[in-house]
Amino acid sequence: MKKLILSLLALSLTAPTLQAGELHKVMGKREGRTNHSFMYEEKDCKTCHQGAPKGPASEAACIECHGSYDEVAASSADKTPNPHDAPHWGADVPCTVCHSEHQPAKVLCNDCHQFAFPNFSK
Amino acid sequence: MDENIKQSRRAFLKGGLALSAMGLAPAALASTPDNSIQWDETFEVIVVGSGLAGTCAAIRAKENGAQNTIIIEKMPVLGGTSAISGLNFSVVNSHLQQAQGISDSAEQFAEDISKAGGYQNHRHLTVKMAETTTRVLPWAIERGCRFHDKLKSLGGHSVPRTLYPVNGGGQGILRPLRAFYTDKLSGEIRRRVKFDKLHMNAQGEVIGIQVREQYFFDPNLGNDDRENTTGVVKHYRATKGVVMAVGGYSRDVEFRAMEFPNIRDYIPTTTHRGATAGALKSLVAAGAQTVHLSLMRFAFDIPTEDLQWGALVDPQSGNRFLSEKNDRQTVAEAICNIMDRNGGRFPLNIYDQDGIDNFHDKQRLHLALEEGMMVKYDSIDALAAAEGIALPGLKATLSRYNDDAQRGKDSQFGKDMAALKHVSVKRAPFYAIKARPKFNYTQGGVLINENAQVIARDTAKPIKGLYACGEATGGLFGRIRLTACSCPDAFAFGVIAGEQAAKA
Repeated sequence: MKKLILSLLALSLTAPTLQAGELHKVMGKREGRTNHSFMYEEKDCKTCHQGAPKGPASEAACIECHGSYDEVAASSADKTPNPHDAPHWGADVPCTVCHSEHQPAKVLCNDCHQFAFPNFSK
Repeated sequence: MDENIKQSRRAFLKGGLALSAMGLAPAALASTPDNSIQWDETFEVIVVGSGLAGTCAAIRAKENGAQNTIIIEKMPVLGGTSAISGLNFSVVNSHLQQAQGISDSAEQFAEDISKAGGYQNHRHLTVKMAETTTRVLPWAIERGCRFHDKLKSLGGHSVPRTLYPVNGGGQGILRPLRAFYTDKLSGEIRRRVKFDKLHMNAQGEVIGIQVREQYFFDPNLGNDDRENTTGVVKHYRATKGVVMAVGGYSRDVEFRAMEFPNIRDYIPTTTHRGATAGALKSLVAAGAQTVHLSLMRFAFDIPTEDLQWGALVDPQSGNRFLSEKNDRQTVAEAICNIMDRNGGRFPLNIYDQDGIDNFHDKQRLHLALEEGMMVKYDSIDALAAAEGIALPGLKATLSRYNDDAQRGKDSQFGKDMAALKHVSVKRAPFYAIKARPKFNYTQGGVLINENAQVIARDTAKPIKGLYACGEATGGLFGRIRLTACSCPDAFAFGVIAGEQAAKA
């Protein structure tokens, strides 16, 4: 785990605007995000599926590597609108509400709005 | 002895005596249910739902002595539809009305609501809500809610009485109240805890709920309530009461198709993703009386009043199909009918610069342009091509429309174009916006009394231990909800539900 965190940290240092990866096949029929390739290479499901491999992943793993909601919101503060700090909820929307690892992802905001988020990987 | 076993035993003895006295036992007593439940946790008050009504209920329960109160929310995001609503708050005798010398009363407010709702409301509930707004506003402000220093004068309201929150409902009202509940009152909110059903004792009183913790709502399921099997079953006991603040069912495509067969799955909704009918069904299963379930309310991306400044056309034919100067329900229902015939394609509102200049809500107009819902074009040909409208039909339609505008009378649908300053669709640039009737609110729900207690279908009496507030309830608004009134309802009956549950 520590090795993974350190390698991701190194990766994020070289890519300050690291964005969610595109979907691509990783194991058999399963798809995953390109920026999580190193976890698939090591067959490490438990990094995200901390409870059980077949149960849904929670945000604890996201936060562990990417930072708290407030930190993520601060990192996108220059965006208008800030996808991680909407006036409706503040920085209080769990990551998996929008970001999906194994399926196409969908922005919660666009249930009602039609924002363009060019960095969002669908 | 376990309280439930004790109660079951008492019911059995009572049933036995009745049997010996009458020679016949009612079926309900003869089949006393086994209510021995292994409770995982016990609370005084359990509030189901984290929207405005639920948040108010939880705060008031705690403020009235029910310290062991909890809010559960099935979604990962808090606030339900309240978080994404404008939450315009209509209040009787607010500080702003008093400052401006505006005379108002609960009866006057209730009359406005009744009139809008075709007088199909339970008027005593309407009056109760209206009069409660007076004390709730200062209470809300004291707990951090922020409102602009102006009153809105809105259609259907006989006097200006509507406050509106700073930066919208989520930021101006709900987040401050939530912070007050969690920080000042040390209140607990649990996410991803789905309410499944009510637990009742042999007397038909609500004593707790069954939930699933670690529940993951799936917006892709046809019916999440039935098909989603995630989560671990738990049993929460409520010693004082359960408050159902579960919102409406506008997004439940399966349920609404049964209630409104012509509302297809492509008709959008303004509510949050979790506005399903599961909790309503559980209330019905527990014997709650329902009212007005088959009443819907629509909203558009631009205000209904601004539809009148242009032509509404079916893209398949290029033809108009009703007067654009109509109430929202009539327009929405006509659109649903047209879409049934054109393969599900949204009609479009078409304006020229004159129409746009007459919009009464410039803020919504700019938002629509900014977000790309409304698009600007140099010519009708370009507009028709981009929006997929049959050009020959559209040209014929606008030719007739513009002639009518000049004469002041709509020869097709009777729109009073003289009153609309003879505005036509002639002068470039032109604008188009899809007319999407968004399923916005459900007037129906469970019936409550003035104490927010849920009424039983079989006895017409309150179900002990069970309260409901907000959009989960029905009857207060009648056939259609007057604008800017869902917020005062959530505030008023949320506060009442919390107070009453704490007193139980």
